[in-house]
Amino acid sequence: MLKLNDTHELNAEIFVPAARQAEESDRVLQAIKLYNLAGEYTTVVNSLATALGTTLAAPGGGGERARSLEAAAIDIIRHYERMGRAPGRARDAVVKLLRVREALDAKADGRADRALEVCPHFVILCTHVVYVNDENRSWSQQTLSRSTVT
Amino acid sequence: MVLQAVAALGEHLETEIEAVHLAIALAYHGLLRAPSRAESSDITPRECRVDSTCCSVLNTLGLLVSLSSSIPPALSFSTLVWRYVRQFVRLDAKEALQYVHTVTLGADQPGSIGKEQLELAWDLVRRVIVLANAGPAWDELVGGFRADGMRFVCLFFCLVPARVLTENSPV
Repeated sequence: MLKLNDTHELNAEIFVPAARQAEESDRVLQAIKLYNLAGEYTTVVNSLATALGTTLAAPGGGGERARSLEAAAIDIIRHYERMGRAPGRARDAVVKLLRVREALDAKADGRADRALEVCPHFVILCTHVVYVNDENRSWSQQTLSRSTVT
Repeated sequence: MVLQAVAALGEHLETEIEAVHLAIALAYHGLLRAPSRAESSDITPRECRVDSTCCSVLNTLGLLVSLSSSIPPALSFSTLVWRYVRQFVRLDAKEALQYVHTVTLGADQPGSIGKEQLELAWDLVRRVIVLANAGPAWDELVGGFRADGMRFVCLFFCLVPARVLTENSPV
């Protein structure tokens, strides 16, 4: 046995320090899962918001790693919402970022109607291009310098 | 002499596994003395030479510590185990964790050494968790929550009391 007497000790000696080390090693998904196991719910949603923001901005959507992160984020947020955990702006941000991802995926598949349905009020910012959902409920692509972001 | 023999076996890649298993057996029977942090830090890498005249000995890989003739030699068990498991920790983290777990056999040593051995074991457990390859095997290693919020069994169930894990509520 590892001689860990209670949950507090397990979290303090194993999960939380391991999560920090994983974060430092750029293993974001593992870090988030470990924080989740340790019951550090606020840290989980903060890390998710940061990581999802990064993957959305990444060229090509971040690849397989981003997909794993998003799948985990969906599961985690669903349960946090159900259990009322870590409410606040960070959790709302994670929900919105996941919707933005879904909309981007729908648009990439040529399903603009689905994209509009998922996030009808968002302005999706990419690195160089702004997709604007205008009053006619159609997506238009504008360069950042010309667009008015509201 | 036995610890020196184990340290000598541990120096060579082809006999490293025998050194690890011998050390585990010695630790199990309470015959392995691990060095305290103070003892380990008293020796700098510059002194890594066997010195038959003054008993200030640390073998070339830093496994064996013997500061004076009045203090029995000590084997850095955690270093020996880690040097062995780090070769396969990414691919077989479960087995690595089982080996790392044996470091806690030194937890009943007198004074602060026992507590230090425990802390070293926890440190190695964290290293295994961080270094292990991501994927289903990693989830199996640390445990997790299914989509329905139920926690699933992990290897930690073998290493910590079940009540410690069940206290953690699902997501």
